[in-house]
Amino acid sequence: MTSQATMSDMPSCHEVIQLVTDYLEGAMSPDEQERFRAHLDNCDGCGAYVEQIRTTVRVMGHATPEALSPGARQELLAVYRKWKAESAGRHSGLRGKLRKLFGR
Amino acid sequence: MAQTHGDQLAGGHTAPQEDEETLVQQLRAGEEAAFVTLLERHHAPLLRFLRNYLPTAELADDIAQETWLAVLTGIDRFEARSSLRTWIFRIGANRAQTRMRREGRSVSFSALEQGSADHESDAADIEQLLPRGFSHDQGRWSSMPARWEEEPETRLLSDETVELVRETVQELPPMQAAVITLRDIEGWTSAEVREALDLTEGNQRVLLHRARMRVRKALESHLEGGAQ
Repeated sequence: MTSQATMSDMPSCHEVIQLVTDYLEGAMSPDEQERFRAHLDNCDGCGAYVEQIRTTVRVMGHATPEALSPGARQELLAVYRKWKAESAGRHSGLRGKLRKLFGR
Repeated sequence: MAQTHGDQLAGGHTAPQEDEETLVQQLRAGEEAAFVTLLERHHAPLLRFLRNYLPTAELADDIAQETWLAVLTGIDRFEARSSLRTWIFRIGANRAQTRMRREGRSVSFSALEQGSADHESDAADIEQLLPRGFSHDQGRWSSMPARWEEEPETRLLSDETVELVRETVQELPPMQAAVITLRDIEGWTSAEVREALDLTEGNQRVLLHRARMRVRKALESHLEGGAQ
């Protein structure tokens, strides 16, 4: 169904460089994608460039942050416990008032 | 926990839905273990994410704590229209932006300013970020770009290279940094990124593109030496 893309249909090298993210993010129409691929099939430079971007993304996938530090864990658990105690206090305070209000 | 998702360019991972529902219920029931699970999963990424907006680590710590408190007080109202992590990070982003505005910092969070094609420094930027070997005037390759995928893993993924990537992301304009952190470092789907940062599809992609161009350029200097 897809027609053979001709040279004149293909994006220029400059366009390939600017459209690489649309291509890798799957944001192109099937037609645009076909023409983009046809360019890559015919241009080693752009092929290598697209691989550079893929490699860039791959390296970034390894830049994930360290695990939760024990210090942060302690600190945030303290925040949690304080919050819980306070909200329990609020709730029991409310319950107390309701009990008074309804005499039970 | 180091995760490898670099090859999932268009997909990223999705949050395990059922597991998340259980966590939300447990958190609502006041189970501390559920909160700890959330911290283990999201605190370090959240801190890293907040550093994109905030000038110091102390301020990021502060806003992260504020975010977790907002999560605790707001969990009853969480409607699971977005994933839990999208919701948490969205709260974080909002708090960070509010804090910066309150402190009178003129940091631009406008997606348009950082994403549109008519930004004044764009033309110069784009030219500067072009790959080595590409002739802007002739519009073609005067020499072939290096085949990075043939580099040994030990070099590509060395601590030094990964650290360089982190530093480069840190120096990006805030919205670019936020987008690339979530999309490429954390491996979120582009839909999740849009939702957490309240961006349109187009703006998100422009910001991601800019950010990737800059990180690629930094890697180029690092892997191929400094000379142009």
